[in-house]
Amino acid sequence: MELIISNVMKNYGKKDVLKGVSFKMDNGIYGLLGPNGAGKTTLIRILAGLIPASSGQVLYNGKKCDKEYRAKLGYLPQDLDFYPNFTGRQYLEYVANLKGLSDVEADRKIKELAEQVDLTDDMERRCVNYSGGMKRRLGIAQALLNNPEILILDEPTAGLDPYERIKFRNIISVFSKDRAVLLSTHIVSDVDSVAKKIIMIKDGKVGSMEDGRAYMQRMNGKVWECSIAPDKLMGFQKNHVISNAVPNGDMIDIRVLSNSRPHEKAVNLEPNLEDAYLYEFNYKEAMA
Amino acid sequence: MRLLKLELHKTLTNKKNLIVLAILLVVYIVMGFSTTYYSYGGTENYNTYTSMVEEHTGTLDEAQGVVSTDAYTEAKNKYGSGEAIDHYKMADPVLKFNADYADFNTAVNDYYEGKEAGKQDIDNLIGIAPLQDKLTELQASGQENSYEYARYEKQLETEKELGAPTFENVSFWDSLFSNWSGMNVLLLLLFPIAYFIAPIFTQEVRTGMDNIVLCSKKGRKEIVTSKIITGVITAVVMSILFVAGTFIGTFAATGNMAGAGFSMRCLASFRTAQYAFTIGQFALVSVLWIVFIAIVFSMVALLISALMSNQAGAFGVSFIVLLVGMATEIFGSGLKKLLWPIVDFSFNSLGKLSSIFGGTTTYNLFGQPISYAMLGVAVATVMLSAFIIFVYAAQKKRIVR
Repeated sequence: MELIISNVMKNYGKKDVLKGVSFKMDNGIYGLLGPNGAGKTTLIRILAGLIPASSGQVLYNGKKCDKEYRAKLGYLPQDLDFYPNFTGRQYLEYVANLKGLSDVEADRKIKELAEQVDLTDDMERRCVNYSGGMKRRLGIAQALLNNPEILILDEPTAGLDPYERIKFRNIISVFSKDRAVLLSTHIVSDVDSVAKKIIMIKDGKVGSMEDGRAYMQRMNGKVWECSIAPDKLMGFQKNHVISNAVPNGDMIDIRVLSNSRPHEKAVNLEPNLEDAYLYEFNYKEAMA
Repeated sequence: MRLLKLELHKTLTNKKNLIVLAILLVVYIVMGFSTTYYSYGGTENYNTYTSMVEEHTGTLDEAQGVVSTDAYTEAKNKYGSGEAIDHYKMADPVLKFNADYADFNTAVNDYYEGKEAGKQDIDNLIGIAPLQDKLTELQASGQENSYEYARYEKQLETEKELGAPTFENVSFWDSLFSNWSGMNVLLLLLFPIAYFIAPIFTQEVRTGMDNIVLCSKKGRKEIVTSKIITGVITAVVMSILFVAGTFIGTFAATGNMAGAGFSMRCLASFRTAQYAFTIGQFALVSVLWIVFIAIVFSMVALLISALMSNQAGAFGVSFIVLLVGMATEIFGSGLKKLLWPIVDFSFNSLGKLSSIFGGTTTYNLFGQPISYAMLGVAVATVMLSAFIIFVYAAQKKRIVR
């Protein structure tokens, strides 16, 4: 399986939302990270065939995306509500039909997925009455109904509690063994440990696409910790990117991203992906 | 099949909409009953009226025609015409009988002699004598091969075959067809259909389900088929409720269905009809016509739903489509002639059984006279096909905003 995104551009009038995005995906999880307005959702919608690109192309196994591609696609949008008169089961039956599953196959898959997302006991309830987390889990289930070769998830863990998030991550990890998963999120820890590659998108362009460790290695020597007085925090923040601040007695322990030692008592720390994300999208800008 | 079943559940067979359907059925029954019951002024008046009708059934009794016309003219002079006299007709079965017999007397005279001078529509002549005169005139001017000649010749032949109207006790059917008037079809059938159809596509936008539908295997074509069939089933179900409800209500008010075997020309609104249907046959044709028009309109409403993102907006635009036809009624004759396709084939006109099946209007189609009903079927079929194609095209090109 190979999905090639080649120089995809999208503009709305004079506003360029995507300015030539190119990357390639095969099996595994790809994390899509970027600030609000970076063009993540637009890119995802183009990949899902919901909007056309202004130029460039998306090729699935060397061919243009058509009905065959749609049959192998699973998609969870960022905002999803449900039909007011449907139960969870009816909703999944409806989507299964849209995806071309036979009734027998649909029933089997619905039972299996309902168990996986812990909704077995709620399948006969109207899904508009579900909690936010349950709705999200139902959304995840619908995306997996057709055993998609390409799974696109836009903010899939929004509204899930920590246990549900971990469970979701495990499902997706197992699932991605022989499939491609594109996971767009603001929650860096969602992709931190599972993503094969992280795609950082900014201002409508792919900034970089590497695995998480490569991003973290690049951060070696740029993550610092020091303690400062609370009244100096605001002033310090003006000149530095602070990734964390924890009160410690009369002082505040801060985690700082900086190319050089930001404070005479600052010590180097092991970087994580969140540091890399902040560095990519905040530090470079702040230092520019 | 399951997709269709679930689509139907979204649109029609869910608890909320089943309640709305039940309420509509009650409205239809109550309307059918009340308009009939009160137009005759209650059961006692109705029985008096029908017994008078039974005494005078058959061909025109000229003496009774004169008596009834004089009595009705006198009443109009006393009470005024229009709604004013209608009120008295409800209260007085004798006056109602005289009014109906006077109307019948006029229809028979029109059948032979045509309308009085000045009242005759020069584009749509009626009456044996005026038709014969017109044909003689066309012959004299060497226009025997013209469309006009072919048209009037055919009309004359039909008139002679069908014969003059007769007076019969068809009160149930007169009331029923009055309940199936153009305005009732428009407001009590097509308008609610717009309410049911409007969310079929717009709710996909509102719920965000467009995202799922449009990227799924069957989300561009097969789902449209399901939605179209859902629209058609909705239109059929609602039409049947409308027809059945008004039928039950009218029957409850009259207590009989007498007259189904008489010519449709015995119906007050269809005295100049050009069809050899019995009333029973015509009732079946009318039901089919109402169902057909409802289906055509459901596809218009479905297309509007497919093109819009807002349910209230889709409902509003569908309503405007219905209003356009009503608005043409206030046009002057010049404007009506200019905009005749809209005037003649708007849903307001297509819903009027008396115009479609009760008049003598014909159209020149490649030199051949074609009846309003026939052209109506053709135009509505073309509209139906076009709207279905447009709905498929709209979904194919649909994007998420």
